[in-house]
Amino acid sequence: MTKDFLKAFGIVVRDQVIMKNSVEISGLGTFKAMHHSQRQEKRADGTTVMLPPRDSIEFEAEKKG
Amino acid sequence: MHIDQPKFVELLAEASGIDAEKVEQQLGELAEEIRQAIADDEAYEIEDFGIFSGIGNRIMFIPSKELETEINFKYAGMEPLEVDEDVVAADEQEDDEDPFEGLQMADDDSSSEGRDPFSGLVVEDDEEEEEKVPPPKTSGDYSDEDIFGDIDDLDEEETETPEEEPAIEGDDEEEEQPGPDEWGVEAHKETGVNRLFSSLMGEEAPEDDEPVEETEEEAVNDVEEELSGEAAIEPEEEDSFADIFGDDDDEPTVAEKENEEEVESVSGLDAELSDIMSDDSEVIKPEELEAGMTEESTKASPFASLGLDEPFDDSDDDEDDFDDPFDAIEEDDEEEPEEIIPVITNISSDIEPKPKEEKEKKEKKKKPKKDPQPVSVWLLIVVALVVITGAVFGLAYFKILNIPGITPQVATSQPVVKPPVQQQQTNPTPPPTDPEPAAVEGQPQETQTKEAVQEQAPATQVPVNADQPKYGLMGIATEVANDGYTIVVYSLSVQKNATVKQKELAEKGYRALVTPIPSQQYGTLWRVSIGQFGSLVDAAIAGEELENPFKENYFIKKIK
Repeated sequence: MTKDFLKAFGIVVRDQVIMKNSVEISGLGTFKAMHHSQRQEKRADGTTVMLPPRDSIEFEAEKKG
Repeated sequence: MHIDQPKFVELLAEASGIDAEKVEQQLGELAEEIRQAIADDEAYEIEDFGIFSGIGNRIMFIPSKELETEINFKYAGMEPLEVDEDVVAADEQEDDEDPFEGLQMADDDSSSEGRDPFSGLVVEDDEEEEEKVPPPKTSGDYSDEDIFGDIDDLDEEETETPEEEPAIEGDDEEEEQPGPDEWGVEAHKETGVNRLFSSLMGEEAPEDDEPVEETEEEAVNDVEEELSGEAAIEPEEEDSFADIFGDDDDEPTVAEKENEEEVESVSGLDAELSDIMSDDSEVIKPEELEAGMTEESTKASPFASLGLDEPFDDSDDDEDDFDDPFDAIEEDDEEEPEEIIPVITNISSDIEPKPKEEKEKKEKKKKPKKDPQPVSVWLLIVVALVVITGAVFGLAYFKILNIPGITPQVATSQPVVKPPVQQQQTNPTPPPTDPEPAAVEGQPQETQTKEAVQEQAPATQVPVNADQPKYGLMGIATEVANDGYTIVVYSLSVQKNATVKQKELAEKGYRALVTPIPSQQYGTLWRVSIGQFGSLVDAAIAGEELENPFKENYFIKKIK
């Protein structure tokens, strides 16, 4: 397992997740993109703010079978 | 879209340039190492990607900050937007949150009602405290001041007495008017201590009386020994002097006539005079030996010793001799009657020291006045430093001096912020989702793109229908409606791609805008948005009605 492989592994997974694609790795799990829509939140001081949307990466481990 | 294992291996082989077989082999090794690490209760980290950890046999992935940021690239730099109260109220109404509003109002009322009484109570309490506290404070302060003031004053008197003694020794009697002072000097050493204890213990009268009598007796003895003219004041001494001096009776009688009003304070005068004479005997004798200036007192002292042997022979001379010291004393008495009385009261009570205390306090007050001088010097130094720093900052601010931290470089960055206000509108053409990663072209293009955007703005002034409402999702974007909200559907790092998307959306009939957003991490981002809405609610409603590619992937922002 080389450094180039690990670097490429990270880049490919990132790019695919950015493109909203899920990446499945056998024996490990699946990487998915999750989108969190904007939402209102009421703060402690009484003001209401609109939180911006957010994209995140989620990993789902492979279920043993 | 789902990327399965074979496709992922293919992509990985393309990205790394490694054979697909080796890639698949290494991928298997990686999965095995991660599972092994989790089994050993250890974490497995891939640099710039994340950490695999586990709870039991369950594998968890924690993305690195770099990966998180890159994935969230579209929304990088966005901050929470504060919603107007009207919008919140509208949302609450939509959500049937009327009771919540009522609660809010109720809370406000209760809070407002609660504040008033509490504030009133607080104020009243403060006033009461202020009113209540001062009496004990004042009383306590007075008592403390009395106590400590007495102690301090006595200490000061005790400490000052040695200072007064040399002054008295060095100066003449008449100039100093030594009657009260000298008496005080001698008496203070004893009575001062007594006063200290008396003031503390409250035993003034008995302790003060005794030393006074002792001083008077000592003074009388001194007078008798020195045979000064003062003896004529007391009848017993007059008799003795009458026996001795005979013709000299007239002079003491004159002195008595002059001092008839002062006869009541004879004891005090005797004490003072005795002190004077006692001091004279102590002070003048060495002066006589040295300078021989006071022959009168020297002649008086031999009379004390020779009294009965040569009384009448030198009577004429004695008259002159006795006249001079007596006249001097009379002059002292004439000059000092006002000062003698306070001295007498000084012994019997502690009321007298107050003038001295005042003098001492004045001296104390005068001393601190000397201190402010160094303070003023320090103040001047501080003010000078402040002025200098202010001047340097001012020069740097106005670019007269170039100081990196102070000289405003905003001049170059401000235009970067301003351009976003000038929104662009171009031809519509809707595109599919193309999240394009940050282009390396980035920064050099930024300035060009701004200029390009400014140039495009007038070019995109497509004729607007007169019937077109000010706000809306569809139509042609207008400059007038840029005071509202818009729905962002793309965030791109290359302006060219942004303009392409804008055109696609415009072709679809949307009001399409491109807004440059400066970002420290990615350079300038280009946000492609659709619609111009007067309120956030209108924008949200329109966002929910968008077509599928945008429906789950948009956010609302204020245009300006």
